[in-house]
Amino acid sequence: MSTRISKNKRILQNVVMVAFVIPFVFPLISVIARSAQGEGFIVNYKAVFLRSPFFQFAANSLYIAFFTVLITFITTMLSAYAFSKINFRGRSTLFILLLGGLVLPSIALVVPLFIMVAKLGAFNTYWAVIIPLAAGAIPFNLLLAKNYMDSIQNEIVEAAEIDGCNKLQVFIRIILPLSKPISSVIVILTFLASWNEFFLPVLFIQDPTKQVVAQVPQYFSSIYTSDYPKIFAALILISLPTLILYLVFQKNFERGLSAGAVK
Amino acid sequence: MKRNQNGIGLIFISPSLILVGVVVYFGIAYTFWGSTREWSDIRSPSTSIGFANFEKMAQDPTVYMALKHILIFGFLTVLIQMSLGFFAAVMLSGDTIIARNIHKTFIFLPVIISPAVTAISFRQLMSPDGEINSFLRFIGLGFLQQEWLADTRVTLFSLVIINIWQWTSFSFILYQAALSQLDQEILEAAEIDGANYRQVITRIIAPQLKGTHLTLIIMGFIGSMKTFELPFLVTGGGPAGSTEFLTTYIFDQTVSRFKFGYGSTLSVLLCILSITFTVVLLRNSRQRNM
Repeated sequence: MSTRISKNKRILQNVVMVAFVIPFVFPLISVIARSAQGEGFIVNYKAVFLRSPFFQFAANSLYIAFFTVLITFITTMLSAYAFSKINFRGRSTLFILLLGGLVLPSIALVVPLFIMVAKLGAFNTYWAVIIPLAAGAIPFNLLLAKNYMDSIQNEIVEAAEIDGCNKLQVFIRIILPLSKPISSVIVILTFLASWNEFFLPVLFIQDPTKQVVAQVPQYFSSIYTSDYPKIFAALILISLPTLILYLVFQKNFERGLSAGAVK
Repeated sequence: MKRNQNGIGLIFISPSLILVGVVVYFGIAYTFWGSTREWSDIRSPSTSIGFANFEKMAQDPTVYMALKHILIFGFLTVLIQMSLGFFAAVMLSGDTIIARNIHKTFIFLPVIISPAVTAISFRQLMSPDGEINSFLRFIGLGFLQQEWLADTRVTLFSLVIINIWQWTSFSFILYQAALSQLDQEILEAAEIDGANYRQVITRIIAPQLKGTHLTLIIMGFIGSMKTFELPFLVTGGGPAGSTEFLTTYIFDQTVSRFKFGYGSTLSVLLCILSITFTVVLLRNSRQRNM
């Protein structure tokens, strides 16, 4: 198509595209620029590192993310395998039942979550955040994983079973290795969701030593009041891990987001 | 062999089933039950009041205001995000644009940033002497300057802008993936038949992406019903309730005021709206395809 587009049109399209992208870039640049104002870039970032519990918050978030990813990954892959490759009664009904969780806003469950956590005495524990996060992550990831596993040929599974593999062995030796691309997508998306989660920690974690990165900005607002350059430095540092993750796994990200929805 | 599969299948799905069952389905049942209770202290028992909470909700002006906001917010964000995402995907699908990967990366980045970070950043950028207003002055559009987060006529639209900034990339990625799966021969045939660039896009490409449009509409509207961090952290639902959403109202009633009964009733409304909306859209689209 491109060969027939005139040179002028080409230039025009490029100008339009740059104008299109500027509003997306401008806020990012503004935040970075703001983080270097006040006492200056080095002082601001140093303050976040040395005079705030930033690393503590990051470690807490990592802990939550690690277990959320672990639980989500194991439960999702096991059930995706069953839905895709095993014939059992009630398969399609149960699949729809699990996907139903996609539609429901998690905040609509605030009352039961609040009561359950209170009854279990789980306030200020990470599990109060991890369990609902994992339950919320299962439906979408299950859809991704099942779609992917449907494309794995049944003959491979059958051949392995003739060779004497039981279902669990098939899962571990055949399905998991063949599902590496979608596995990385699930791990990345779940990590992203739990690292960025704000609502559940705000609800259940008040103890300042146990708070998570999404709560850092609020924490900083209270100690630095209006020292926004430092708050913005903190915002950037919070976003760095996901940014690096994205740049390293760019292809997987895009494939993952689209894989579930295109089908 | 078939006989054994029932058991093993159920064993493999049981961890997911238990997690989702306890958190989501037990949660929904509990919320429905809670919506019929008068209940303002976790430690003391609640009492049944029938449908009094629903009557209260039917007369609560804040609920109608919140619904209006969700509708406006959902309609605008879905429409604009889809248009921008589609436009960018089409523009970047050919090879006319220089440095396509840089453009893609910049459009994509907002979606990986935590909504909490986005909210707090924009609260500053949108202050009267913030970067957004300076930028508008700088490019000669000073007349567009606003009190983005203080003028009650503008606040909801400010949240719309922030949402568009964060979520356009999602539409973009989905359209990009769908475009790459289009049959190139149809496009070439259309060009040979003398269709121009615009005709190819509006008459051939756009209709073929029906599935993607539908996915984005459903996810966009559900997303707007779920929207919480933006109003909660940018405007706190204010000023004067101008950015109150059902989610912020539920949070306010439940977490700040401990009105668990009424909070449940509002949650029931949110659940019913999300489910009804999805079912209606899916059914409509299926009928039209047949």
